Amino acid sequence: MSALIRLYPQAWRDRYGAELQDLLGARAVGIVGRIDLIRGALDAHRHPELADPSVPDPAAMTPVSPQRFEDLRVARRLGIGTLIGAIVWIVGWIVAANGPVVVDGDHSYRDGAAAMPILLGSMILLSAGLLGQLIRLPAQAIVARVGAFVSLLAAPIWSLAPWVALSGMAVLAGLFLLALSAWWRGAWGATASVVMIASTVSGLVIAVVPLMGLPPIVPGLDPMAPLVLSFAPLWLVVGGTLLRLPTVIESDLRGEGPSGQLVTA
Amino acid sequence: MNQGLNEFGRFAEPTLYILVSLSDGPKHGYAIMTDVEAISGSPLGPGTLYGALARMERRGLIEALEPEDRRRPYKLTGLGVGTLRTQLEGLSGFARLGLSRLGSSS
Repeated sequence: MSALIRLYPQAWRDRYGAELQDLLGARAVGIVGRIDLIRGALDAHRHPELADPSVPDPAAMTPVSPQRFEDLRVARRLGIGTLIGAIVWIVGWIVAANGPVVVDGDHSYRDGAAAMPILLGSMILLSAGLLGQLIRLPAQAIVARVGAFVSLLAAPIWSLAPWVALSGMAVLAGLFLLALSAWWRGAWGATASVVMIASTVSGLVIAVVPLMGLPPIVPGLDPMAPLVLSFAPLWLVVGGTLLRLPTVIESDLRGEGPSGQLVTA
Repeated sequence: MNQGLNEFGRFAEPTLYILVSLSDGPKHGYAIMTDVEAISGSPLGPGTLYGALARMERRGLIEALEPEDRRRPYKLTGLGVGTLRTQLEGLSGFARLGLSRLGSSS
């Protein structure tokens, strides 16, 4: 059982470790208790401020500098563009699904070329939100920033050449890392991260199933429909997490030093 | 100044039970754990217990006393007492409303 206590951060063990060790020595907790301890250790790593007074509380209404506030407003505008991108993404696939049928010898296919500029636009709007994430994410969220950067570059490439699976994988892998790391660093809530991860994983599964020659997940349904719908939350999460602005900015006008100034978001 | 428990997330319910447990005097972790189990009828995991205690201490709802051997008792602060009172009064009002509506409909 001591091994599970070692999963907690050092500062947390220094503060609560002896008490917890005593409690566990007084009573066997079973498998459910062990799982609870592991969840507690994850929580302690996510919230180092609980046991370490030197770590600022991310939930506190921390004033931001006027420059930072302006940066966050820019990120917010980019996020609004990304939310519109979710609609553009769906419209693009509707256009593609209703393209003219072209007969080529023995084969016929639906020409979705008219949708290409629309899909490119949706991906550019996704990249805009990812740029906003790079502006907004804290500097220490390195993995999340790398993920956002990779997806930012790969998304437009993917829309120009959707048959290049590598670019699509790069977009999804980047978004997956962004969601996981942003949650870990406290920049995103659990709901946003879970939706993003579920969206990337389900979209990947839906996309891979026909490539592997497996039967469709929903027989009789065009596989593009669930794929398009499962990816739509990507725009919503990337954009939605950029909307909230801090309500207090610092004001050091006239050399009076930092003081709270309420602003309208 | 009182505060709600919404910011405690999944720790809100255990926090309320711990506040009730400490309302009759200081207790250490093991005593809180057994008391909460007796109150709620369901076990309180050690990770959840200390996750809640850490949050409560950080928010000033409880205060750690000098350790007795390896056991450190906790007691409610004035803020903790006020918060518990507010929560219980809210629940009491909710229960009264529900019971009165139930009574008038049957």
